[in-house]
Amino acid sequence: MIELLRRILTHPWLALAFRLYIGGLFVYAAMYKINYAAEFSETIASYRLVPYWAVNALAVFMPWTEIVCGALLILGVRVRSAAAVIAALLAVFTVAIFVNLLWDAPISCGCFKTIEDPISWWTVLRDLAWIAMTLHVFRYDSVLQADRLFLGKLGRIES
Amino acid sequence: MTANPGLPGDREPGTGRRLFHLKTLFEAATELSAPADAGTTLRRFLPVAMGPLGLTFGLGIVLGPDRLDVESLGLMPADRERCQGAGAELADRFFPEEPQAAAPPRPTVLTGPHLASDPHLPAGTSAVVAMRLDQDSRAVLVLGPRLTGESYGQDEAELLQGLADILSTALKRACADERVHTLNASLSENNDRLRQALEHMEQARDELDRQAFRLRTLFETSLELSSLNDPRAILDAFLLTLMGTFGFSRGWISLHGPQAGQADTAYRGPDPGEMAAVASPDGREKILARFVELKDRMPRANQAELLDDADAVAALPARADLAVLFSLDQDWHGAIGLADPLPDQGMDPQGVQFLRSLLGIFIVTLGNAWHGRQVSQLNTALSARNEELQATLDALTSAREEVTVQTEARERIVGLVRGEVARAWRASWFDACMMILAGVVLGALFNSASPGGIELVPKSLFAPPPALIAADEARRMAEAGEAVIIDARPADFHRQEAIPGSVNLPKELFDFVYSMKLATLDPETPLLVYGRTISRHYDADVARELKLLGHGNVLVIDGGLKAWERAGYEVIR
Repeated sequence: MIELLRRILTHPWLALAFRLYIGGLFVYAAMYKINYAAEFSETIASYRLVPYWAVNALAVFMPWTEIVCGALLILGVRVRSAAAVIAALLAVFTVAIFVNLLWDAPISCGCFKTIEDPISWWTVLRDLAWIAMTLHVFRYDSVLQADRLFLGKLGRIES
Repeated sequence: MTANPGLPGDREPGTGRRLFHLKTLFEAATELSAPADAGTTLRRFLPVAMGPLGLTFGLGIVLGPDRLDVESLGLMPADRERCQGAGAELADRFFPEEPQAAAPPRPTVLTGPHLASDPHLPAGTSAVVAMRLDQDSRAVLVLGPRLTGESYGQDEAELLQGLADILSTALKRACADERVHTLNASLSENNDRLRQALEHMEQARDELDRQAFRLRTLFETSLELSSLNDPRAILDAFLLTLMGTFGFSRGWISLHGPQAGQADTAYRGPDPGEMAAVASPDGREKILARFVELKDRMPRANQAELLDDADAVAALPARADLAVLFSLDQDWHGAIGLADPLPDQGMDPQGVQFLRSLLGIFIVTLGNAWHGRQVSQLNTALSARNEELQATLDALTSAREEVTVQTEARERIVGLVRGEVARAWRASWFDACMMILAGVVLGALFNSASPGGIELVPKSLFAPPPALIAADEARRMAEAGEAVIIDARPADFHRQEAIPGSVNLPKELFDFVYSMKLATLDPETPLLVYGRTISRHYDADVARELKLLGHGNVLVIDGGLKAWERAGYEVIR
């Protein structure tokens, strides 16, 4: 049973599902932020962790980084690097939420839209779950990758 | 032989006899004075001596190393035969061995009655005279009995001795004459032999001269030909040598290869057509036909054969009186023709042998030059092939270097590809940085082009610092009603914690809230703004907006809400 569970949990197709989910999630989340950069900058500022001179720049650049990494995850290009970046972003988000929870800050997550429910521990657990999925993708994803499709033959070139 | 009637008869008997004896001696000397041989001398002497002495017979024997003359007069035939048969033996009895060097003594006269009964002498011998003529010849005179039967008196003995001396002298002279004659004959013969020897010597010298000339010609020919490397030049030089040596005014040499058209020719003569005929394929066929005709005598490789058949010589492609066929090797055949000989230029056997020697030198030299040309051609071909091989080697070297470069490039490309492929499977800082960089670039581009774009760097960063007011002064003014405290933070933060009596005026709702709560406020009323975090300077931004709306006394509480709290003033939560 445990072996079956382990095989299921480590199966590449599960990793593919996580990859598509996380990729789509980040693309979806970034779409709104891209169009409403000013609101997103306020969201970032509400966390009170970023220096005021870097808030706007972060609000402009981070959604595009998310959408690039999400798209690469969906396409299966540089999966591990993209997963690592996304995991790092999620870790930062989680830490930020965790810190603001400790501060009891009356802010919303701002993960998808500006007006959302305030952050809570459930938000932390959700982000941790997304981190776990991303790590699973990093470790076990191996199917339907564009890299393997196009670079797999190159890897078999004999020296 | 008789007494001279002129002489006085009244002389003494002894004187007359003596005179008679002298006359006898004179007559004998006169008779024997004429030159004659020993036999004739004996024949002349015997009558002259026998008459005055009154002898019945006389016998003379002359004995030499290679002669025996026996003459007799008045001797019985039987005794004559016996004496002739035993002449040498009879003579030796009177000549014991004597030293050869001794001078011939005077004749020895033997008389006595014992001689008459000597069995070895004719019967009645009255005297024997022995004479040594020279070292090898001697003579014996045997005299018969006197008619008177008397023995020899003193006078007769002297006469006999004188006669013996004359005879001895005559015989010596005869022997000397004969010897001189013999010597003359021998000299003549020797002279003839010498003359013949001289003639032979002259002939030998001429022959030696010819041999020397031929040897010199051979040497010079060998020297000249060996100095030449071109086969055609060798043919020309050798043709000139042959024509000069053997006296021909026209000649040609032709050498043909295995294929028609491979020909080297030399020609000396007045008709250029002959040279063309010799070098032509038809001429080649004619020459090869002569080789076939020779059958067993066909010259093998490096051999020559004199063509002695007149018909075969006439069938050659050009006129020739003397022709030679030769082969250079199994495939190269040639012919030599010499024509129009000079007068008195016959070809003797030695000349033929000389020609063969010249041909030997010619073939060896021509073979060397021909092989040299072959070697030169091979060397030329080898040089060409070497150049081709060198070019091939250079091309191979270049190709190898190119292959090496391409291999290295391939290895590098493969390494890059493999690195890229491997990098595709693993997380890399480069890829992560590239993703972030892509986000930065895309964000910057989109933000610059989007109508909803924001300032990447807030203006408050470069704005002049606002005027500040201390928290206690702000509290005093607020409690005195001299000023209005404005909370510039977002509404959620204001609701969570704020200074009592403060008006929440967040920037995003600035116009709405200002029109609702502050539009009627006196512009000169001091406005005390607070609200600042690490991420936003809300107070400065709102104070700047209020100044833009005409409020001249807008101050920012130094330290904000935290300074207020640190001062222990009341806040509402």
